[in-house]
Amino acid sequence: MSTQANTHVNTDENTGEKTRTAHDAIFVDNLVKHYGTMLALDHFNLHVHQGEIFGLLGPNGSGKTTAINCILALLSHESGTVSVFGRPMTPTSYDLKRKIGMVPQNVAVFNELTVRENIDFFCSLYIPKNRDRKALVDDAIAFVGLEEFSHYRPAKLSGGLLRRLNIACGIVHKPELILFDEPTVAVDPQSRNAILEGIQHLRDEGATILYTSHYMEEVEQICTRIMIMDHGRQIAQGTANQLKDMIDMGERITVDTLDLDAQTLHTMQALPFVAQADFNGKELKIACRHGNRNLADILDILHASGTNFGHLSSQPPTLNDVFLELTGKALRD
Amino acid sequence: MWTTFLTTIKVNLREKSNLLWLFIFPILMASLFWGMFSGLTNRQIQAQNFAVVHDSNWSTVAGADSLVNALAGKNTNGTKLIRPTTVSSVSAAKKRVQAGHDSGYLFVNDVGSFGIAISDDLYNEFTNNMSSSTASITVSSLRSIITQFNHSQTTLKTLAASHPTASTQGQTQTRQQAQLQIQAQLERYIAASTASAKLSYTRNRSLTNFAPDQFARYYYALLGMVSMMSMSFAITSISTAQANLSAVGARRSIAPLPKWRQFSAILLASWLTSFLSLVVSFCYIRFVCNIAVGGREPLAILALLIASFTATAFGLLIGAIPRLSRGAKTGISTAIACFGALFAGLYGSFAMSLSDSISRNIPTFDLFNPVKQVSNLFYDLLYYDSLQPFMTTVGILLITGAICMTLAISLMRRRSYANL
Repeated sequence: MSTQANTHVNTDENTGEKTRTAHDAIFVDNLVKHYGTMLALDHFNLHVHQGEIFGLLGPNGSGKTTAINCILALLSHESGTVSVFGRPMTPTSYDLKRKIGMVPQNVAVFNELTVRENIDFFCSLYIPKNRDRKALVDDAIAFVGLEEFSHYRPAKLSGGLLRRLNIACGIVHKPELILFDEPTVAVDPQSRNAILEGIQHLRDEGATILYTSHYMEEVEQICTRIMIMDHGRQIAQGTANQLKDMIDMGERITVDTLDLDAQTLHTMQALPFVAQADFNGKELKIACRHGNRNLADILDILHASGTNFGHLSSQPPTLNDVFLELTGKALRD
Repeated sequence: MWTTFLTTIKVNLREKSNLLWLFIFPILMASLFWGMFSGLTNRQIQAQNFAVVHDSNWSTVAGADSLVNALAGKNTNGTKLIRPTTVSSVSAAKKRVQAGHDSGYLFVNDVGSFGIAISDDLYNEFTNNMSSSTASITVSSLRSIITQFNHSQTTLKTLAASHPTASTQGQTQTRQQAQLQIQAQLERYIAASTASAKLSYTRNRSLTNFAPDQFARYYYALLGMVSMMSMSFAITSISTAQANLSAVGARRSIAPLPKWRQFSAILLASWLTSFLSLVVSFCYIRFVCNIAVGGREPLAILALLIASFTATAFGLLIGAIPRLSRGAKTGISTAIACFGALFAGLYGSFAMSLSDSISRNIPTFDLFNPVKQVSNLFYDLLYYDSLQPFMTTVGILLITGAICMTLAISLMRRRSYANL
């Protein structure tokens, strides 16, 4: 299944070639990348607009990190194009690199340097003059809330603080495009919340963000648009609601009841919008397909059959449902 | 680039394993050598209390008094081996020894030969701790001198008996006159040759500018090993600059600082820290352990600069090898240093003999041993008047370094990778 719900790529009517639009921060077209004989990116396309937080979702080994490394020109690729802010991205595109920040999946800092020294060093790779860096380093430390730890070495920081240091090193030079590769792995809820708020703040200040994660709820919380990829290619893209509309799954209705008879259950199972209905003697669970009156129709049947019930709840489909339906439930490496 | 340079130095100097192996370990090793070798070179003879038995046998030996005076350092300003006390009989001498007044006694036996007897304590010290006791060296010296005296006396007596004119240049004389001549001859001999308890017929002449030091080579080999171990600075630094070697390297690779500038900063910083570690070791060896470099300290510093350059080039090459962990690379560098040190003679007299044997029989092998070449730098300075051997060794190390550097650059010039 491959769906393009919200495309911003223009197609030339004569040649059929896709062209980047003026507001693309990242434009990836037909990228192909192999690791030996294994296909890592299979004609992969990605278009990230300036000023948005774009979520890149996919199971382990789906090609997210490979895609990011190709965008950053760290990895070579066999075919396809990568442009950043409208210009081709190469290993020597130093002007472009100046505008990019990267927060890698693994914490990438020097254990021998303090928090402040680490942030200052990574800033120096972008801003050579010491006096120009001081305010930026102060800002980055304040942004991630590491003021009281600025003279600590990484070995003395907790996992959450390390992640925040990792972020500070990636954003200290005020980049216009920031790539976050699973920045909240192994982080407690408080730190995760702080990180997500910080990312939204960066977006509010004008940065464009490409965000990868396994955590559906945080992607749903902060991302303007989301792409789900698997086996090195895009399988769906759009807003969270657009993605939910793509799958053949509606709300999940749960009814607490003790006296549901077999005839009523059979009636419900026969309804065209009901994908599945199960009763365990205490609880009736109904998985619905899309429909506007699903809950009302269920209630009508319960009333008509004289079934007494207590608590009733209806849950819309989640991004997690979308993800599992699109990528399958088989375990990945 | 400046910040990269400073940061690399900071990281190198803060890494605990670097501090241990490149600053503390060499000092410990040099101290160990110092403790071992200084005991051998600085040992002094300690005069012992000895009784001298002036009984009836004593007067039968020509030159006996002169010998005792010489051993007591009375005739000359030579080394004093004994503090003599004259007694009339062997039994009196034994009593003094048993009472602890003397360590032994000198006597003349019935056949007219000198003898030496020592106390049980001195005997135990002599046999149990032969190589390190100052008293045992005194006993050894006494034994050697008395043996030699007895031998000389026997030779002269035999000569006088068989050729009575030998000592009087052809003049006819009686046997008694001949014996008197022998006694006079012995006394002159003793006076001349026992001045410092050194009965030597040879004379030391130095063929080099500086007095040879047989132990200096161990310290030089240590410097060679430390120089090669210091390649770990470059290994650590380059591992954090290559995208395919570490996460930090990947982060640095996406920055707009050109690769050649990062490489230059790393090269200079690693070279400097390597040089610094060698300077610390050298200063300790030179000024604390007092190991000379032929009075050519400025050239020794140049040698350290060359050695650290070669080590850094080696480190960059090993550090740039893809798909090897940093631990494996550090292991390789340690193996090169330790293996090279074996063939440079660091591990004792056997290793030194092996090193000499290799140098004599397969000198080409030494060209591929950077530890040996670095130790040669200092050896050349100490032993050769000419600077040509030193410059040859410098050339070998520079060429080795240049080859390693070229290979390292070829491995590192990639900017994007097929795999990370």
